[in-house]
Amino acid sequence: MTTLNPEKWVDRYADYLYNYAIVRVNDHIVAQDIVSETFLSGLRGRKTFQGKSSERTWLISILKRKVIDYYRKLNTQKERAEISVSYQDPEMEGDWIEENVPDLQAQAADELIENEELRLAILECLDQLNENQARIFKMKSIEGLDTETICKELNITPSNLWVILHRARKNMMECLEKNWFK
Amino acid sequence: MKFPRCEKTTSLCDKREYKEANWREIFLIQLHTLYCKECRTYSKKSEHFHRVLQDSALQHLSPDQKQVLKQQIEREMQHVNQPKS
Repeated sequence: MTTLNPEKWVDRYADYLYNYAIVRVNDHIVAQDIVSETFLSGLRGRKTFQGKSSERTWLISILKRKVIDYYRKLNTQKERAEISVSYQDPEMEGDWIEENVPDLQAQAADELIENEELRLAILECLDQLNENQARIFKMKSIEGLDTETICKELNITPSNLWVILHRARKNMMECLEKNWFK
Repeated sequence: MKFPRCEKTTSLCDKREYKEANWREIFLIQLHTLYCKECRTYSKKSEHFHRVLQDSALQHLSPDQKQVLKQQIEREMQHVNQPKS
């Protein structure tokens, strides 16, 4: 049976939940708030966790409800603030500045949606590495930190870093091959 | 120049993906993979994996943002564990 370890939630699941949320709300700050609310709700409701699913699955089910709550709240606000705007002359249609600007956010959102499953598969594999490998892999490959910074922060030598990183990459490749490229 | 061993070559492949291998090291990879099929496979897989990782546009929270989340959890845990008076 699975038990909850809230003190490890951030390191293990924050990025997973964030990647899950960002595609659904398309806003980094909102996604971050939703991750935070998910953790806090999880803590408050931890007695309801029966241990039948994994911690991650349980947290995702909470996050899904938070996303729904977010859209509900947004809809209520919209209804209150709605004003009607019409063009005085039908030929002016499309003249609003907003309509002439390419929707970059929507474009970025499309690209994000496209690779969502892959991102979640990568993070699931990352969760299977040991703590040390996962931390170094994240720092180097996801956060893009340079070797010197990581070595200083973790107080290890560069050759040590490359050995751990090599093991991590090998495990990640094997895991993805099994779960993603199959 | 010594011919590199498999262990050294795969490690150089890792360095190459992070743009931290110099021209001499890249040459050593090419030399070794000419005659070693296993390392040739690793080299290709390593390149492919790195590309997939980059293309995935994986999002992440910054260490500061994570620190804030950790503090929130800590505070909430203290609150939850406090006996109700």
